[in-house]
Amino acid sequence: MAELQIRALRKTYPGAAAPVLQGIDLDVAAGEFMVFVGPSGCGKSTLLRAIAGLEPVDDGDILLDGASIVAQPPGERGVAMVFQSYALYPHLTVAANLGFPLKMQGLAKGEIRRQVNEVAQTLQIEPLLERLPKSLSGGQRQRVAIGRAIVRRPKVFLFDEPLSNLDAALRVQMRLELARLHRELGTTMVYVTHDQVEAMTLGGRIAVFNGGRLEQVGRPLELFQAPANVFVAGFLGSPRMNFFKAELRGGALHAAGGQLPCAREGRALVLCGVRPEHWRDAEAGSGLAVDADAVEHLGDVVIIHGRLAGSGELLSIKRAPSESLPQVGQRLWLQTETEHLHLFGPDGNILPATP
Amino acid sequence: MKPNIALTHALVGAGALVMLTPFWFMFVFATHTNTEILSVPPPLWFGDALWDNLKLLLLRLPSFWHNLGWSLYVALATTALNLFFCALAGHAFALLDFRGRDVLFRALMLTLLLPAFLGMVPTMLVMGWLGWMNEHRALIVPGAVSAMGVFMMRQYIGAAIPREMVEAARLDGCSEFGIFWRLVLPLSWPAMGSLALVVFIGSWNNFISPLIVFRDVENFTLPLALRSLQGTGQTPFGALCAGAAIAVLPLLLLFIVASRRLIEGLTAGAVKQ
Repeated sequence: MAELQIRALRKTYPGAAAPVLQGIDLDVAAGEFMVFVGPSGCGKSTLLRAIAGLEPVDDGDILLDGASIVAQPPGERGVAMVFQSYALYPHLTVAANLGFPLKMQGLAKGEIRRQVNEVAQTLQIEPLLERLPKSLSGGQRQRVAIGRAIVRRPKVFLFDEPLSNLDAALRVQMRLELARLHRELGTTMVYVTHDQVEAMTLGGRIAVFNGGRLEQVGRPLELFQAPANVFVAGFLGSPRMNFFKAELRGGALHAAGGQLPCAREGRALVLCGVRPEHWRDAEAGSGLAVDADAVEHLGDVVIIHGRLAGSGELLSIKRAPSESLPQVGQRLWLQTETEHLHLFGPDGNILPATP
Repeated sequence: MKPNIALTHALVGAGALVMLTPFWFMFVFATHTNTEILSVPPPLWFGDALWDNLKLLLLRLPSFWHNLGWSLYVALATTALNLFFCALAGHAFALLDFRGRDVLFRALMLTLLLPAFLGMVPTMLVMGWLGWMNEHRALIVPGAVSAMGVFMMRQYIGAAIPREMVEAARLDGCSEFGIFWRLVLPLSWPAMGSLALVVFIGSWNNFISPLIVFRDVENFTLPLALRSLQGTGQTPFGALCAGAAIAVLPLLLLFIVASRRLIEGLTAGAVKQ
C-alpha cells in the first residue's frame, strides 16, 4: 500500500503542437482505487505509462511513499501494470508467465512455484497453469495478466483499459472481480478507462482528463452531481447533460424556449446544464418549450430527443416507460428544480452558488 | 485476357528444364569415365564408373574429406554468428529507441546498393593486416553479419513482437539483453530459420572469398578444392562431378526438409501479408 504523488508533470511528444501532459498535479492516497477517465488522446494512458516508467517525462516529479521514482527504470519502481492487450509471453505456459517476474528477481524454483500456486488459487486459474496463452479465452488471459502483476507484490497496480477487449457480459464480471481484488489486497490501484460506467462503479475517486489537463478530481457522485466545468458535466452521464444558453435575471433563467425559476441572485449570461433524468413536465405555457424529434425505447428507459423552441438547441429527456410519452413533433413543457440546474460561465467553469 | 494455361505450363516447364539439366548431367557424369563424358553425344543416363570416379577423386584430392569438413565448419559458424548478430541488431533497430537509430539503419541499408565485389578487396586487406590469411576465421568473421540479415530480422521483429509484451518484460525487471534472449529470440524462429537457410547456402557455395584467402589445399573449402582438380593435365570430369554431387547433397537434403522456409525467406517482404 503506497501513496502516489504526481507533481507538475509535463510531457510533449516530439513534433507535437501541444503538450500531452500539461503540468499534472495529483495525489493518490495509500490503498485508494483511482480511476483516470477521459476521451481518446486526453493523456490518461500517457500519465499511467509515465508512472510505470514506460514514457520519459520532460518536467515534474512522481513520488511513491515520498521517494522520487521518475528517474528509476520500470522494473525498480515497485509498480506492476496490466495491459489492455494482456501482454502475456506467448511461448511460456501460464505458470511460466506468472513466475517470470519472480525468476527475474532471482528466487529459487521452489519458492516461485509456491507463490505462483498461491496467486493461481486466488484467481481460480489453477487448471490453466500448464496451458499456453493462445489456448485461453479473453477473460482467462486477463486473469493471468492480473496474476502476473499480483505475484510481484507491487506498491501500486496500474491498469491500462484492461477490460476493453472483453465482451460486455465478461466486462461486468471482471469489473466485480477487480473490485473484490482491491478489497482483498488493499493495494493502491490506478485504473485508466474511457468507459464512464467503469469509472463510476470502480473508482473510489475519479480524475477526469481532457487535452492533457486534469479537469476535476473527486468521488464519482461528487463529479456527477457537482461537475466543475462543462467538460466534466458533459462527459459523465448517459445521455450526456443537456446544455442551453440562458440569461440569469430576476431569479429566473430566460432561454429561447421559455424560462425556468432559479433561486439564484445576480445577472449573467450562462450556459445552463440539466441532466436528462431531471426534467419534469410543466403546465403548458410555463417552463421551457421543447419539440420532440425522436423517441427511443431502450426497454428499461425511454429517451426523448427534442429541440428547444426558438433556438433549436438539442435536448434529451429520460423517462421511465410507464410515464406519459410524447409523439414525434409534439411540444413538451419542461421544468426542473434549482438544485438540478448547473450554471456555467463563459469560461466553461461552474458559477459559484453565491457571487 | 485469360491466361493460356498450356502455354504457361510449357514456359515454366522449359525454365525448369534449363535449371535442372546441369544438375542432371552432374549426377550422370559422376558415373561415367572421362572418355564417355567427352563423347558426342554425351551420356544421358547413369553408367557404372561411380566407384572408379570416387577412387580417382580421393587420389587426386586426398584432402577431400577435410575440405568437406572445413566447408561444414565455415558454413555452420557463419550461420550461427549471422543468426545471433543479425537478430541482435534487428532487435535493436526494431524495438529500441536510441539517438541516430534511423540514420544508422539507412546507412546500413545503403550498403546493400554496393556490389559485393567492391568490399572484397578492403576486407581481404584487413584480414591480411590481422594475419588471418589462409585461416578460416578470415571467411567466418567478415561473414558474421549481413545488412540483408539485419533488415530481415528488423522487419520480422518489428511486425511480430508486440511492444506491450516488451514493456511488460521491462516492468517485470527483465534486462534489455534478457528481453532479447528470453523473449524475442524464441519468438523469432520462423525468420531465423529462413535466414539460416539463406546464409548456410551462401556460405557453402562461396567460391571467391576462399579463393582469395587460402593458399594450402588442406584448408580449402569444397568449391575451391574441387576447382583445384582442374589443374595441369587432363581434368578428371567424372571425379569432379562425383565430388560436386557429394558437395550438393547436403543442400539438396536441406531443401527437401525446409523448402517452404527457404522460399518464405527469399520472398520475405515481397508479398503483402
